[in-house]
Parts: sequence; C-alpha cells; structure tokens
Amino acid sequence: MKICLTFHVSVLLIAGLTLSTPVSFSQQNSGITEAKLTAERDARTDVSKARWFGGGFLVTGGTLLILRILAEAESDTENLALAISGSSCLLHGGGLAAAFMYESVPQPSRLVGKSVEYVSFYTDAYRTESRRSRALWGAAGSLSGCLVMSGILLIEEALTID
Amino acid sequence: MRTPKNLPFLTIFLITLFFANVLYAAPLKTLSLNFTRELTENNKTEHIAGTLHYDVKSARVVVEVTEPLKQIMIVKDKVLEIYYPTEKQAFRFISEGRIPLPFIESIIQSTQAEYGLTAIGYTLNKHDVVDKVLYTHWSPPEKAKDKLGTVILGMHNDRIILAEIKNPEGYIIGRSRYANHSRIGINYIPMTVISSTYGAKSEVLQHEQIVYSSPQVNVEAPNPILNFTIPESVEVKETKW
Repeated sequence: MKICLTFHVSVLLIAGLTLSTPVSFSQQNSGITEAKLTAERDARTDVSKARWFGGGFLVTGGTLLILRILAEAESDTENLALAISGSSCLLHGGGLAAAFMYESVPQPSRLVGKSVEYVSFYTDAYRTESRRSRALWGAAGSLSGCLVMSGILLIEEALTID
Repeated sequence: MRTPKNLPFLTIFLITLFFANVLYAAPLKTLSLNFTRELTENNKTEHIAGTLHYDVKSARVVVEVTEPLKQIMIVKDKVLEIYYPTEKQAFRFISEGRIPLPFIESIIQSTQAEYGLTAIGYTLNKHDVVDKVLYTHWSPPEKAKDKLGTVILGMHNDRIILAEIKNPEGYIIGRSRYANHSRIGINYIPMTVISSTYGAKSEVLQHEQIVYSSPQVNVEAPNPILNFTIPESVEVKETKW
C-alpha cells in the first residue's frame, strides 16, 4: 500500500513536470520573441532614415559629380570613366561599412525592470536591426544618388552630341 | 518705544521662513525619488517600482528597481551598466556618444523654460488660452522641418501640464500630461507623468504612467547607492557600441 502511494505521487510529479516544461519553454520563447520584436521596432524608429538616405545620396552623387568635373579637365575619358565607377563603388562600400560600424545605444529607460534574458536578446536584436536599417537606407540613398547623377550625365552627353 | 510682546516669536517665525525658503531655493545637488511605472504595450501592462537617485555634479543616475525583479542601472556619460544582484550578472554598454539619463531627462525638460524648445531652435508660432491654460504652438527649425513636427505646450500657473508632439505630416506621435507638481529646489517637478506614443494611423502604441513620491533633495548623507559599483567578483558582459 505504501509503495503504491509513493508510486502514485511519483507519477503525479513526473506528469506535472512533463506538462509544465513546455509551458515554461513557450513562456521563455514568447519573452525572447517579444524582446526581439520590440528591439527591431525600436531600432527602426531610432535610425534616422533621412540622414542615412541623404548621406548615401550625397556620397555617391557627390563623388560622381566631382569626378565628372575632373574628367572634363582630362582627355583620357575612358580611363576616367573607369576611375569614376571604381571610386564610386569604393565609396559606396565605405558608406555601407560605416553604416555597419556606427552604433547607436538603445534608450536605457527601455531596459528598466527587464530580465537578464530580455536585455541580452533586446540589445543583440537592436544592434542587428539598426545596422541593417542604416545599411538599407544608406544603400537606397547611394543608389538614388548614382541614378540621378547618371541621368544628369546622360542628358548632358546627349545634349553635347546634338 | 515699546517692544511688542510677541516679537521673539515673530523673529523666530521670520527666520524659520527665511531659512526654509533658502533651503528650497538652494541649487540641486542630489535627488532621490521613489517611482512606479505602468507600461501598457501590445495589450500587456507591466508594473515596475523602484527608486531613482540623481547626482547632479557627476551627472550620474542610479535606478534601483525592486519590482518585478531586482535590478540596478547606472548611467554616467557614455557608460550604461545594468546589474542583477540576485542572478549576479551584469552588462556594461560603452557608447560613442552620451547616453540619455533615464527619467531624469524628462524631469529636467519639464522644468526648463518652454520645455527647452527654444534652445534647440523651435520658434513660437501662436498661442491661445482655454480654461486658464495657456497653449503655445512651436514650429521646428527650418532645416529640420522634414524630420520634426510642431509641439504644443499647455501651461497652467507657470507649470507645464501638457506636451503634444506631432510629426512633419501633422499627426500626433506623442502626448505627455504632467500633474501633481511638487516644489523641489527652485523648480516645480511633476510627480505624475502620463505619456502615450502613437503610430502612423494615430493608434496608441504605448501608454505609460510614472508616479514619483517621497522626494529627497540635497540629503546630507546621500544614499550609498549613488556610488554603487558592480562587485568585482561578478562577470560583466561588456559591449562597445
């Protein structure tokens, strides 16, 4: 009888543990997901889209413009066209690297009263998303600058031929 | 000439009044406030309680959280440290720029003339008075008009009671209400701050209510927590931002 009672208690305990484990896992997962989603949203809000887009636009567009002016002064246009594209690509790459290297710290008030796990996942996700967002907007600005300047140069060339 | 009978009493009363005024008018050196914060986000409300300590001279803020967990947050210049006394774990974030001081920045901002808007280039556009509340409308500086919108401030008895922030398209993105002002040092500090942030479709993203209590100003023996440092035995996860 005594063995039977111990057995029953053990079964109940094991059943309780088995049932409670997925619940605690799912709670932990929901906490991680929440931290990640909140961090991504905060990072997207904090990154100055206009600044990174404008920066990318100015770097590429400005480089193309300066090198175009320099090309006018030289006669070897073919080599200079290559130099223009090369330098532009190099600067574009440099801009993207800057976007990845530059860091912005999340506001401390967002981490007040949060658990160790939340802070860990939040800061990791915030860093990743803010880098991605900066690089995305920088690249969009750079591409736009390149397109706009190329368009201007094409129109200018067409007018010169005419 | 006869001396009034109650002259000694009158003298003591006046001296007390004078010193009380001097004490209140003294510049702020240290400030401690208990706080409770209720944050509602994604249909979930979290309750946080603790004490906020601020050392003006060293521009150091220590936030001691007691609920829902034990946490000590230290912010000074470019370093943010978070320590968990129960778990014996810690984080240190070193930033390239200055880290905003939690809670304190908004308290300081609420005591500044025009909410500190003129200092950052905002200009007064128009004003009106409704139910004894002076509403002032502030326009952002020309060069930042694509990023910043107008700000509306509500003042009652020279104390800020409302700040409404709009985006460049004119939609409200944040609204803060300040109530229960208490005289601390030479300023009136709102002891209740209710803030809401809004999304693109004017939906409430976040609702926050902070209630401050038991203010302690320029205490002779400041709370030792103001000089708190993470114990050396604790391994700190350090990140450079």
